[in-house]
Amino acid sequence: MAKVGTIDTRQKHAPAPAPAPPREDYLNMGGGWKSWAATLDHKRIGVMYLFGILISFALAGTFALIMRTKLLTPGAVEWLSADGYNQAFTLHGVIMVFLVIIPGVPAALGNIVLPLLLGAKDVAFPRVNLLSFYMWVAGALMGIVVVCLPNRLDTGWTFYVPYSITTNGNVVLMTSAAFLLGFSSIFTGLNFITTIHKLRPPGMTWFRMPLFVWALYATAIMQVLATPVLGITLLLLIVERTMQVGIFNPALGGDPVLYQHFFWFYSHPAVYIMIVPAMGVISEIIPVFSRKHIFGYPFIAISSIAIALFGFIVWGHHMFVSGQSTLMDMIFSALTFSVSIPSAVKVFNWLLTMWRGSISMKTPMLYALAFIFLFTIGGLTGLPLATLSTDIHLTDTYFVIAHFHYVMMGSGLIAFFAGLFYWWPKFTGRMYHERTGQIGAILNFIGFNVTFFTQFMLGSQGMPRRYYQYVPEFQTYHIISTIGAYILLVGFLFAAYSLLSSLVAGRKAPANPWGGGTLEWTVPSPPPWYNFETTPVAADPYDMEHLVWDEKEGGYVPKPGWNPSTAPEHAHAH
Amino acid sequence: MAGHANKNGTDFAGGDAEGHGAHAAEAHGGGHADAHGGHHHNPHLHHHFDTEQQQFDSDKLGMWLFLTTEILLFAGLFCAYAVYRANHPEMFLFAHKFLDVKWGFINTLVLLFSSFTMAWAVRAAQLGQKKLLIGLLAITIACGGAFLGIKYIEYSAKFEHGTLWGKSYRPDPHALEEHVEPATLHKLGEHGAPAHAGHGSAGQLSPAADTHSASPSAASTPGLTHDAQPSVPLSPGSTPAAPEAGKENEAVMPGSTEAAEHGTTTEGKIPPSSEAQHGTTEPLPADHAPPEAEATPAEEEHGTTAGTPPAVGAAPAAAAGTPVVVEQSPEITATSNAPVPSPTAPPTYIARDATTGKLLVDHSHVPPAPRGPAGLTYVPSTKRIGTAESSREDNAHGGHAKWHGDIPPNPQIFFSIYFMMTGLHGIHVIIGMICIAVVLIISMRGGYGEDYMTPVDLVGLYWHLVDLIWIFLFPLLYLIH
Repeated sequence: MAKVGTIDTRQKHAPAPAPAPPREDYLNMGGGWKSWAATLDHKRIGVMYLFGILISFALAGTFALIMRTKLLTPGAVEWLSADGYNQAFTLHGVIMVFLVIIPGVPAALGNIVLPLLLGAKDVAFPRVNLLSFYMWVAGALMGIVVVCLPNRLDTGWTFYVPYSITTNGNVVLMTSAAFLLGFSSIFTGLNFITTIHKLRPPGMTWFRMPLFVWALYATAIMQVLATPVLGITLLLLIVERTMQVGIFNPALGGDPVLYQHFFWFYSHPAVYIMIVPAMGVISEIIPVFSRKHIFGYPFIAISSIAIALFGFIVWGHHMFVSGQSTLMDMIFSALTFSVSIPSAVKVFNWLLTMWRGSISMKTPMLYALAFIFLFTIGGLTGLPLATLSTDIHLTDTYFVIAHFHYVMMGSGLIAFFAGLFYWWPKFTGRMYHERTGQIGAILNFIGFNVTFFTQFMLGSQGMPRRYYQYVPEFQTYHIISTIGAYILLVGFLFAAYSLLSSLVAGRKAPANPWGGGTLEWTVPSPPPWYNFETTPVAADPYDMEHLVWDEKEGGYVPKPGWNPSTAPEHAHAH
Repeated sequence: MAGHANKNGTDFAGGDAEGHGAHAAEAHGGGHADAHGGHHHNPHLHHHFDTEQQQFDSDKLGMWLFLTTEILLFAGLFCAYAVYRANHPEMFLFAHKFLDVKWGFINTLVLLFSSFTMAWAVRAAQLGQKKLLIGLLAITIACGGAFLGIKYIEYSAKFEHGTLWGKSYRPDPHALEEHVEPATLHKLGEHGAPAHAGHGSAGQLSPAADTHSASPSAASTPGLTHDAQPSVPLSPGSTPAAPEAGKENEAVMPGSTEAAEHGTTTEGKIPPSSEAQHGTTEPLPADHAPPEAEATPAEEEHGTTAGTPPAVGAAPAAAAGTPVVVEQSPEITATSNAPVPSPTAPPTYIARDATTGKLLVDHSHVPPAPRGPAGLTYVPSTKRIGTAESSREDNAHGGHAKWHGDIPPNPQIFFSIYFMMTGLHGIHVIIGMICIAVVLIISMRGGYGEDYMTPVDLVGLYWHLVDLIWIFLFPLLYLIH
């Protein structure tokens, strides 16, 4: 059983129990794979998610490299057929979206740190949490089966009808997998909403919650409200293929555009399911590494919710050329512009948080800065795509590819790595290797821009997406883009070395290596399985002035005599 | 495993919102005590909750969120229902006659009663009345079983009659006879052709629909009873119509840029056949051959074909009550073309108003799509096919009156939606029954009392949702007017 294998392997990576008097933490509290497979501990579930997500990331990244390598030459190549190319971009998309980016920040990082941020012992429903993880595993295994079977999926990650009804690709298996993954995501969201509502500690009012919690809350709302629609859509698609019900099949009187409406009603919010928690991570990292209170807390908090709500009413902008009425196009275009407002609010607040701060360029901060840069480009290039006249030219070109990679990868995944480096000391108990981490971050930033900025040029000049062959005029751009992809590969290898080497030879992490003011830094690294001895009292999460560097500890400690319950409200908090 | 769970301090997770009674059962069997903190008196209290109230509130909130996702799961189907019904009310009106209101109504009562017993069971659990609780849960399960039994009766009738989803839609001619006005069938039978020769031209029905209405009469022709299959010609003359169907659909698609300059859509009876007069090179589909000739909302015939003007060629005959279109042959097409007062009509149903620049869609002449995406064709109301008269009869008889007039295209869509909605609902009934059964077993072991009855409460909520969905399904599917 592969999931057993997963857990076994993870076990090897787990740091050895601390020497001397071994303090019991969540990693060494129980041995054997069973203690992992049947765990109800949110941190262990999060770590298992993390492991699976990183494996999936490597797999989907491989498909990306296969594609980029093929595109070095405009013509057909011997080692990859056109069908193989279709399968590569489809599997790259499906795996990245459903197995990596959507669960990345919420299910992996969120599971690990949400209860810690809330001063809680666990999420509200630990069993649902485990069930959710196993649904993810089942979905992932089905995805891998699709990769291994000869009739791979070739529909693109959107499964558009009528092609998805007629293709020989393994649509039913993959959509079943996506269905399971969807419900995994729903249960995670449901769990988080309940946890945030019911398990906050004394003193933590809604506007004293860390911004990552706000972001997870907004994400969870979208997961709960949008994903069921994907569920029924995929279910209908499965039934369409197996029983020929004809609801989406034009040959049987069905409406294929209805499928697109259903699909994007989920999948547009899904874009925000990817980006909003990523923004939450950045909102945590920026103030800590600027040694400065977050600027405009309520605006960042509310803008997360605003993005979540706006996200539900803009799906039609994926369908400007799908035969929607012009009126619908115009309405969706206008609504789409409105999303840029809360997004920009966040960017300005982050910039103002850094202003006159004492910025330290640690790896998480480098990723966070990359995020701001890339997200800004990704957001701004969304505007020409939301504009009807330009979109008609740019639809299904590399411009779109570049745009959504700037948002989903340049922002979503980069923030995932930012959070991974940021909380790595907390949940592994080891400091990652700083220098290689920084090199990796810089290489990723460069490689990303080389890869995808080029594609804006390609797209605006008319290179269509998903093409196996192209006219030779585009070759220079494609070669540059492919070089960028390999720079990214090297960058991620550096990142992997930085993280994994720490498990073997990393410095032992202090409780608070970065001087963060949120509650997870008040417990030892790694935390005990019960997280907190007693329910903590929460103060302003971005008040860091009470923390001072302690050389002996190798991290930050609170000033003697500091008491959170009497701590003054920070002037910037409201 | 149990030992590990204890070590984790994670005992029974109350009513985990997923509605999985199985977990509850297992955990209860174990009945292990809380692992840490002697301050908890209730063994059901999970270690990470401070108070029972907090745990109960969390469970309740989680369940409500889960029910929200369930509603949204069904919402997709309701949305599909709304889209297709708005676009093709006549098709829904026709197809729903194959459902049995009697059984649907009984099922509604059964589920309502079961909701009552479920709610009472929750009350009994709160008061610690164990025997009453067990009895009421058993009745609730029995009601669920009765519901499924009745559903089975209904489903088997559908399978017998071939009124199934999508591609499997092959209605048994006898079943059709039961639901379609015999006069129509009779006429069809006599003349082997649709009585309303003109309806095609009047934009009422497409060639495929002709085939449909003809099919019951041609009971012995298996192909005719199929779903939208315009390529099955009723007569040689209708053959050319098939390939045309697709083209016409395209023309009808909103947003088609083929919109020609056309000032008047007032009466706007521009038949598809007018293409011929416009020098378009498309061959005239036979069934569409008779050009419309009038804005006479012909209430003639059984009045059910309101808005179905007879074709020019056929009109006199039809008016005289003589069955027309003996054979819809190409010749007829040709002849009917000739006498047509050539309409100054554009080749499509969409025109642009010269003065305002607005797109004008001639709804009255947009034929339902026989094969194309059903959602693309706009049909403004039921007035053309399903008639007010038949609705009144529905009311009068408290059941379904027979269908008057032509059989609309694509009834298989209705049955697809019917089976998807009731099927998904049926699965939920089964899941609900399993959950209640688990709760029943636990309550027989004395698992619930005044201090702890969360699972009963949560299962109750779930069951009410299942009931509520049916309350929406019943009128939407069975009681269409």
